Amino acid sequence: MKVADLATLPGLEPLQPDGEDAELTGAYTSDLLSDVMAHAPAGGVLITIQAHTNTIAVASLVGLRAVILCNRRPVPDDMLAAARREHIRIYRTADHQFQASILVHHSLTA
Amino acid sequence: MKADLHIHSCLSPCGGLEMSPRAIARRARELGLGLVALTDHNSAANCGAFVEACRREGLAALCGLEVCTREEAHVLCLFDRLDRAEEFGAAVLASLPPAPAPGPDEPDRAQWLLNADDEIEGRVEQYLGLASAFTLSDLLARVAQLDGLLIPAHVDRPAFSVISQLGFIPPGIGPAVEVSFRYNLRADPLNLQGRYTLLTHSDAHEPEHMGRAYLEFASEVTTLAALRKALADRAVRAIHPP
Ligand SMILES: [Zn+2]
Ligand SMILES: [Zn+2]
Repeated sequence: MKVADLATLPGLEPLQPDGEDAELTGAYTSDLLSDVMAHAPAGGVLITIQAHTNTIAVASLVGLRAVILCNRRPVPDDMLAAARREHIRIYRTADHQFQASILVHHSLTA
Repeated sequence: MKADLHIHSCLSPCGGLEMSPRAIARRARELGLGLVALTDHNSAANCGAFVEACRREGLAALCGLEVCTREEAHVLCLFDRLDRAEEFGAAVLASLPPAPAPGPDEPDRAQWLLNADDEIEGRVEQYLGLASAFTLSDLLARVAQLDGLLIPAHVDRPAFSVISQLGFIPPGIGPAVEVSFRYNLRADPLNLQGRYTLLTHSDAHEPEHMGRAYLEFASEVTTLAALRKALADRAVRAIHPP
């Protein structure tokens, strides 16, 4: 599955669609950024409710390629700008983290 | 007497060189502030320059830092003594997960160390925008040991606040909590006024942010001891100018 294929998943709204289109290496679900730092896979997607710029800073340090923001959390403009700068795609969904994780899991293993 | 106890300098990962210790002190004097505190993220390394810059402007200064706890809540830790702030700041810095800060090619994020004359003395190369290893209760104990004051920052914010991370304000916190400049002080939707002395500060990362929130004390407050008493007595008003 490619990173850009995330846009085809039901309910995922692309908010920041720019970025390199590589193979998606995995996914990680967490709302604690220190935990994301320690465990999220490079080249993967993060599923979280942390809709702010620090999430992009950590995603960039880890080498994540995309972030899925759950529960339709409001997304500040500076987060989108930072994501554009770092070539990290942002999607948003009304699903909560468990639902979004199942969705991504199915398409990663399909 | 007006005060602003939450200001970031160019040492914070999101502050540019226009937030030099000297520039902050000058702007503070223009705004009529009498007491200010420097609170960079997870480091007190610009506090020495800040204290000197404030002395030149005739302002009272506190040395502080805004620590990100292990729970990822921001708390202000304020000290009277520079050496204690620096000692504590060094322990916080050493506990951060290793990660590089952006380099000098990104001047707005490069974490600059300046002296009181606006000269660059270096950079903190460890990225400061991460969570320290200290839990909130670790910090309460340590700060008390060093005779400092701990105030949970922007408790109304949806991220990086004690309430966003824990769901409530735990016992041991008080008498004061800080709300952001966006909080509706009159309506007090979190119902804080009855339980805490409500504070608000600019949390400035850019010069234009300074003055957007401040404190008004009933009396002269230039030391941590006087601040502690004023907070206990609730002899302070949180102000968001229109
Ligand atoms: Zn903060
Ligand atoms: Zn702050």
